[in-house]
Amino acid sequence: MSLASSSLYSLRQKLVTGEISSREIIQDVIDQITTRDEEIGAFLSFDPDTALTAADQADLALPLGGLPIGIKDNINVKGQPCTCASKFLEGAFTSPYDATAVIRLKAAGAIPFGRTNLDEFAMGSSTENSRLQTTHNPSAPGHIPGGSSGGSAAAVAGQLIPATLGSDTGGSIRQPASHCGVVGLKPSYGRVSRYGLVAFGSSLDQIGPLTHTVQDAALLLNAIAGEDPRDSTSLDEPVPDFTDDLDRGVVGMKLGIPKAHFTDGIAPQARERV
Amino acid sequence: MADPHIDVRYVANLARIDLSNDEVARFTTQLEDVMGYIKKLGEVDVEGIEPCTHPMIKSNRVRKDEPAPSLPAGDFLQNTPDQANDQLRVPKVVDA
Repeated sequence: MSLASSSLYSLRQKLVTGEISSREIIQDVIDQITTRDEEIGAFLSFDPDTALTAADQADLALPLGGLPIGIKDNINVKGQPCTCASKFLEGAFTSPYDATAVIRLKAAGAIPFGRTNLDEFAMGSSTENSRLQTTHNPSAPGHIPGGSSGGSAAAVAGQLIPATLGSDTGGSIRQPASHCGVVGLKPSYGRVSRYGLVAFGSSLDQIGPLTHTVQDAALLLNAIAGEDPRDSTSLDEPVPDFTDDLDRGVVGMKLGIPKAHFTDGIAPQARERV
Repeated sequence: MADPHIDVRYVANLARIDLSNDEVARFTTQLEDVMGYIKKLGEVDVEGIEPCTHPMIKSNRVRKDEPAPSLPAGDFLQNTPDQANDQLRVPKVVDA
């Protein structure tokens, strides 16, 4: 199992015991993308030197110290391109600031790594509407990865990087995560600041994690959640530790199901599972 | 709501987009279809339903009126093709 294909949690265990270094993780991610992403097409760009320098300076005492996180190419990372998979912005725009979610990832020790493909300006559900590149589904060759966060989902499913951030307006994290067989979480509206996310539907947009495990999604949400003065719709509520209840199970929980989603045309297997 | 009419030629000129006559005709039909579809919202019965702008936050929130540093001009001007006096310069897009 390569480092790039491991969960954040397992990498963290190995980092704190000194078994591996952050530089080794970053180098493996670079190697995996260089050798295998031509077939998958998850990443639009990445900056190896900045990431390796950050790895050498990583503070392993922090909750995500030294761990690389891929970033959807509609979330600003200072000094990096933000194309939104559009010809408009390709080669014409360098982010002058960090999105709040990125500031918080960095504060938690994580290393934002690379820019993942999407439907142009996040408008689509297949990543076929990217103007820059086609992304294939590593879990189902010959099929779309879903979208709009198709690059973020394919990067994790293709074992190119342990985790990514995507954005979800009307399914753009959850649906590609489902297509690619990874964990995707759209946080409740207001839980994560939208500052620095290129807007699509401002009353619905949220940034969220795509990961191998639920535990990793909780770790990432811990880092990016919280009120932000720069987003007046962010929620002024304490952020709990989302990893606390992971072992509790679902017995006794009440789950709501929107009836409107269970009409004609739903796959029989899906209907049966629910 | 009256039937929407969109002057595509006028809007294209404001946006500095060159359109052929064929394109103007095609986009006029398409955009009016889109705007017409929005009229469907008017058919929804919202009698007795409280307006909702945010599922959790019920009141408007404003920050304190205190000055704070904003993005340095040089940082955002790096992405602009034309500048003057630390400001972004664009072609005039309003009507005379």
